[in-house]
Amino acid sequence: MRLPTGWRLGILIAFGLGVIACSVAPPVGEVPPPPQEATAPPPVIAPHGNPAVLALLESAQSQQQAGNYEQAAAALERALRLEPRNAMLWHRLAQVRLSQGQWRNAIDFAAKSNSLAGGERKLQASNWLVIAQAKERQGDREGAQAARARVEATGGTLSDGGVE
Amino acid sequence: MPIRRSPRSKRPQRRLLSAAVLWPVLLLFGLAIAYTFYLDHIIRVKFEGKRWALPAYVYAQPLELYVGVRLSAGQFERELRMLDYQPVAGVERSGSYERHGDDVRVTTRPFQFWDNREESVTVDVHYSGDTVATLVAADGTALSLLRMEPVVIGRIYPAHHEDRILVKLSEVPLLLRQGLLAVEDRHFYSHWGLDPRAIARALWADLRHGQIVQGGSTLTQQLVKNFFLDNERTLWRKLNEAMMSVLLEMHYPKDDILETYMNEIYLGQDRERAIHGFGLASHFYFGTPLEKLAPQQIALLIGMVKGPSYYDPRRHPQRALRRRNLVLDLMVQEQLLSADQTRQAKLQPLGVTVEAQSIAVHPAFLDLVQRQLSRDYREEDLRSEGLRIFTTMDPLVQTTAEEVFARRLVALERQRGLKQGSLEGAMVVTSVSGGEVVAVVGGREPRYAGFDRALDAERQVGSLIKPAVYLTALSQPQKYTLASMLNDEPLAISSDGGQVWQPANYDRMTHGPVPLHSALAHSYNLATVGLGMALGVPKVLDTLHALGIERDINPYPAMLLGSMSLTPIEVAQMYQTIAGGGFRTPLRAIRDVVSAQGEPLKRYPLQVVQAADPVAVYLLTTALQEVVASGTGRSLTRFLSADLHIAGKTGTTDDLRDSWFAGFSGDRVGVVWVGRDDNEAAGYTGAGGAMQVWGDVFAAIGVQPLNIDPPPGVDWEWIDPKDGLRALADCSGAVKLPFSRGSAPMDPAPCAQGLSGAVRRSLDWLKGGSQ
Repeated sequence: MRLPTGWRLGILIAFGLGVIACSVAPPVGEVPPPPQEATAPPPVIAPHGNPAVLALLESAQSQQQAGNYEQAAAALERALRLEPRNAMLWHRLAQVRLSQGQWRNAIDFAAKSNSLAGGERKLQASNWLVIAQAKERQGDREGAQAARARVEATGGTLSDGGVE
Repeated sequence: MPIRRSPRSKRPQRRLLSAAVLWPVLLLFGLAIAYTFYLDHIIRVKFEGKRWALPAYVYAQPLELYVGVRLSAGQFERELRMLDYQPVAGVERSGSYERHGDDVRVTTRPFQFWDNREESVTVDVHYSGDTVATLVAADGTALSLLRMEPVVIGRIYPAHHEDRILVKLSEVPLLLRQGLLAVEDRHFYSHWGLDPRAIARALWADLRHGQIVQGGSTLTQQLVKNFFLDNERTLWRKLNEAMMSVLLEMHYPKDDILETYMNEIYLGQDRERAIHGFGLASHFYFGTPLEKLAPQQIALLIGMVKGPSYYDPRRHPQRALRRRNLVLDLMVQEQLLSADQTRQAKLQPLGVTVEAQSIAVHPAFLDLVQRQLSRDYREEDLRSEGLRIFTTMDPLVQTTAEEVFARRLVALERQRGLKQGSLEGAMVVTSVSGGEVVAVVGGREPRYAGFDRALDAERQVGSLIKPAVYLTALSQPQKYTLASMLNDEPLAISSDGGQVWQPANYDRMTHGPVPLHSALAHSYNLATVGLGMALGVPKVLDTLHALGIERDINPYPAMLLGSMSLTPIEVAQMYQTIAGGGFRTPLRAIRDVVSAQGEPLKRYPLQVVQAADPVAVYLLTTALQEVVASGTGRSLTRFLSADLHIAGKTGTTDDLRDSWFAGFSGDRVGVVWVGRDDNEAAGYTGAGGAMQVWGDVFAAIGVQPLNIDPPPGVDWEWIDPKDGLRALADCSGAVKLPFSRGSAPMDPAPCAQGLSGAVRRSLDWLKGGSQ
């Protein structure tokens, strides 16, 4: 890929959102909500310059795509060792855990990402969406509702399931 | 009737008689068989449990090279040396490198990680100062990331809970094998577990001298005895041992028994640690592996089998020397050595090292690995052979910390004229992000595998506890902010038992009304106790537990000043949570364990748990940065530039018994304790002792600055420190402090009042002054 860094990241996030929306494993004994499509344009995240981190992000992406969630998480953890305060990496880890049905971990990683996502409102909205979905699956309707309100408050929309 | 009956009655009587004899005999026989089976079972289980197994390899974390990473060419070369890479010119062979100043060309070895395989590559690494500027493969492509193979830091037997160096019989020097048999059991390969000739000879010798002078035990008997170390010397025990020896010989070939003997025999004591086996003994006494021993060293080890403490070469060198020479003489008699060789060997000194040698290079860290293995993995998984354990240790940080630590303690002793060797200490360094323990220093002798102070020394923590008090307050932004005024005034707290506690400040003075952030920065005890009592001790305890302190702590008011004892690693966990922005990550020393077949046992995934409000932790962190910038930790700038914005806290206990410093940079959390093992006064405050060690180590390892973007929901405002009211940028002495949104004081300070104040406020607002 020879796209500008910002675009590459944007595509990654869009893909990640798609994964959240489509591949969250329904818990046993509950009717899964209809799958939502992420049709939102890729959010613009400030590009950052570390090609090592980008390479690991891409590797995590393809591992997740192939269903190798632990490998994907391992790549993201490796990236986090290089950039511990990179909110984007924490967000991606939250997405991977959400795909695995690890609701509690997904929520914690998304909250961690939010605490580092100072001015990045789009990323914050994406994190609140992860939290909302995980809480929903945990059966915490109120918590999910509150998180959805935060998605909107941070500028995201829920109408199409994606974050704008 | 009697006549007719007598033959009839006699026959049952005889039957009765024979039954009366037969049944007990049969019963006894049966019991004996059952007992034999029982002994057989016991000895086989024992023996099987001690047989040779492949050790687990323990690896440090791999070095990740990428453009922009902070790592000097010197540090890189040091890592390459640890990996045993050879410095050769003009050759591209796996495991070699070539350095010309700031340019290093390295050809890596391939390595199978838990997630994927890294192939061998030749890479040119170019440095610019202390960072990697370019990373280019031999074919000209720029690499984004290169993961080196990890350094091996130890070989352990995870299921044994003790360190061993097991040797294969084929690796044992022939002289040791033959010499051992000549001295201890010449008929080993022909007897069936017992040697009647040796027993008779021993008995005869004992009778002649009227005391036990010679043991007639075969190696097999000695091995059996060694399995049951209680040293009971009853006849019953002797009989049992004899039976088990015979049983053992029935089951196993001679070589197996000899090999197990070599690895099992007791050869000395290192404080609380027993030295078993020739492999470990060789390291323990001579600091070298078994296959490198000289004849006289082999003779000494053989001689010591008879009485490891009696012939201890460190405590009784004369005795040990005589015994060694006796064995050397025997070796000539048996034609294992030539007379000439023996003469040469006898001229040599004992050759034991002064200090007991540990096999592990970093025993304190391995200790943590062992504990986490047994805590987090299944026993049966750990018993499988040839595991590969990937740890979080950073070899550069670990070795640097060990060196600097020892050197700094010597300097501290000299500074106060203390007896050399009287100070002890411990240090734990972790990564900020994943809670990975990168270095553990368990004492000033890093190679000594003894008391691991980092994990086991429970010491009073003093003021290190204060951040928990202030975090409890800052988590209630509607009540407390960094600008809240506290009273640093004398107070008396009476307990239920009628006792009255009157804390005092370290400088024995009072400081009146002080802003909350200054009270922490200067570690004022009275203000802290006042604040803690207002919050409630149980609330503070809740915070402490949320931060990761798991042990039970008595809810006494004195805990507000750190009256409880914690280990350095517990303190590291607490500060890790603060450094992690209020997200707790359980400290871990293991990343992955992979079986010999390459299957991961169980991954140690990264986990974080939100333990505190990130905004409150951010406010606390700025106050902890003030500790170093202008508070009790300001002399840290001797070691580390103020631009690094280090956050930390000093801790000192009564009579200067414990000196603590805990703090963090952008990438590392570190905790240092300095004190004395006997809990006597060490003579240093937290800043004077532990912080000096901390600063020295952190400067040597090179750390990233602590520049944190505030989490959402933080506003910065100008405050007048005299009254904690809202000031303006141009008010004299005004400080800018962060607040949880909406919690900043609204009332203007005197300098910001009136019409001019209002105008300047609007100007400030227009300039964006209150962002």
